[in-house]
Amino acid sequence: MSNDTLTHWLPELMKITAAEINDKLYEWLSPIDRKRFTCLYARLEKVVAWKSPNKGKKAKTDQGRRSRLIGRLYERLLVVLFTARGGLSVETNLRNTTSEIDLLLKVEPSGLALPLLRDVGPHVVGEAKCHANPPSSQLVNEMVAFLQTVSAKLGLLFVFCSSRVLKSEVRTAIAIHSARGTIIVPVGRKQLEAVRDGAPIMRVLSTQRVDAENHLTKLAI
Amino acid sequence: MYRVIKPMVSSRKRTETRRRRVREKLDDPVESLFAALTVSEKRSALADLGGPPTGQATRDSEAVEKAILESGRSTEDILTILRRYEVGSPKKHFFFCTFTGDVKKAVKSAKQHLGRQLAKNVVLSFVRDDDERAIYFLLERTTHGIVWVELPGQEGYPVVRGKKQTKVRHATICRIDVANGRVMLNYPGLPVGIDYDYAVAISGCMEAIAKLGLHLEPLPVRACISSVISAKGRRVLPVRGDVITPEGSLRLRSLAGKASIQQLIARLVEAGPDKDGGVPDEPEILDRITHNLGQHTFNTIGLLWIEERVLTRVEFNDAGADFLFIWGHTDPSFALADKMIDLFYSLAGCLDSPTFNEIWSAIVDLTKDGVITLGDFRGRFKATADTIDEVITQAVKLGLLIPVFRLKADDDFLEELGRTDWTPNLPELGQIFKDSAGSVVVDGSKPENILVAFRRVRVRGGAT
Repeated sequence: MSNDTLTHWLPELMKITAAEINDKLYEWLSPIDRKRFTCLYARLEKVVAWKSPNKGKKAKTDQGRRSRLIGRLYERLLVVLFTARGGLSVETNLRNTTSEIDLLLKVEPSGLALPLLRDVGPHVVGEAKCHANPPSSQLVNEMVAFLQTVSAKLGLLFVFCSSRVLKSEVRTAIAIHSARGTIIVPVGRKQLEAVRDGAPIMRVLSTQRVDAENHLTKLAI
Repeated sequence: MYRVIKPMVSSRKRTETRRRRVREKLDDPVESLFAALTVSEKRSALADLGGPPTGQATRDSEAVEKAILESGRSTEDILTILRRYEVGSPKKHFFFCTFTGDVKKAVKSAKQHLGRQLAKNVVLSFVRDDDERAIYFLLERTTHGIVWVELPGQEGYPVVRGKKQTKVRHATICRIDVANGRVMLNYPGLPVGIDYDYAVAISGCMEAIAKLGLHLEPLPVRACISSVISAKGRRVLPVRGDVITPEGSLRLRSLAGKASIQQLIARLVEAGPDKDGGVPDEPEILDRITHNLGQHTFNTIGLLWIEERVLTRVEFNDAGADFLFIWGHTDPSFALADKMIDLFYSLAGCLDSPTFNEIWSAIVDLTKDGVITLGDFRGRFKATADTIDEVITQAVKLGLLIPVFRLKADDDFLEELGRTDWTPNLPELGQIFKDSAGSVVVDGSKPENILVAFRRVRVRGGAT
């Protein structure tokens, strides 16, 4: 094997802590169609902020259409994060015998170079919850139970409520499950905006996983 | 109902108050430990001691201290718990060493010698061995110091101050990283105005540790720093220094983040516009200055760590090099200090090797933007490919080189794509490249299709 290729140098370069070099490697390992992502994100924000001009029954119908559109847009936005040829490949809305998996992320060989994915097994599960309410400890517990039914160790809980620091009971729930081997990483507007502004998705997820596993008080979405 | 509004206290006044408190409490072990800990550490210690008595508020530092003293536990228990917290947080000064000896035996011996004097004025007061990453010894040195104190007022004089001899407790944390064979001696330093010789204190601690069976060897910091300065990398920049030459000494102080000391001198010696366009080439001036600085001794030097945004003042004394960390907005931690100094540790391990020096010089002497292609570069030396790669990795860590990439494909195809140059922008290669006929020639998302080389970078313009 020729040792002037990236196959030989990737593990060595991953050990170097310079942010400039690290970000380039992260970006290469998990590329994103940023133009598409930015466009979808702007659309989603517009739809979320939209209010029906009608009243009564018509307003309710509009509200229902808006909610469905938000759900669809949010799932499309998340798919863009992982569709390009990176460390994770994605399949969406898969049915199993008991439920539906929103995002099934398969770890590709190149993904094993990433600290985020080294110890998580062959797949990661993503749940998209585009609610106005922040995630609760109950939601975390439900997601853990779901992850156990599909033998996943890492779950990405995508939410789209307004940015905030997570409540103490949510952090505690994450910490307890993390100590038992099931890791829930909440991902919200804060992280998606960082990606939109140019940060590599895998670095953002990696940082968020560290914050979640250490149940830091600054853990925010 | 009236709301009591406390008057604003300036940060300067707070610092002065704190310094006075530190001086007043130097000769009481519990009080001096209180002075060394933060409020949150004291609160944690209080929780370990069983929490505050019912109904007692622990809002401010003094209330927490009072609650600790009234916890009903013995002084020894209180001291042990406070010391446990004292070894957990890094202090300002660091002294870096390597060690030889059996750590397990040293810990066993330390537990037997707990509370005893191991060297002149140095008592081993605490051992912590339940941390997987490191073992901690707390060494307390007690000596006498002269401090200025305020005396009772006298008529006609607003403030009367006098000298007072007092006992000085100076604690040193000895953090032993068993896996890497490294030792950090970490100490808080004493307030301004107290005469204290850090070199003697360090020698005392090293002597005490030697009694436990561990021999400490100071890191050759001077050689490492000289090497870093002469390499002109982007990772660590000299921003302050006291240069000693046979003709006298020179104190240099550039604005951290704006320039290195070489750039500061370059500004002073560069020709003016009236000298018929004879402005010397800046890289050439910098090279000359850097070379000449390397010929002289530094008494103290300030290093700016670009990644961490931390400034360290290194003062060379008889024992070795004392690092004062100015953390700024960065959270102080042993792990971060270790990560920063890791560069010096890895350099120190190689500086004596002629093979390393030969390869290192070749990298240092490379012109700006010069590219090292691995095949050619490896062919220039007798050393094995692994050794050469290790030196290159070291140079990347130090900011001398950056990795650059190119597709592994025929030159004709690369010319057709317009991608014959090496690029640092790896993500732009992560796609499938097709020829004019539309068939796939190379898949840039596969690591085996990306060639790696390294480009020399040097500090130019601003420091960051």
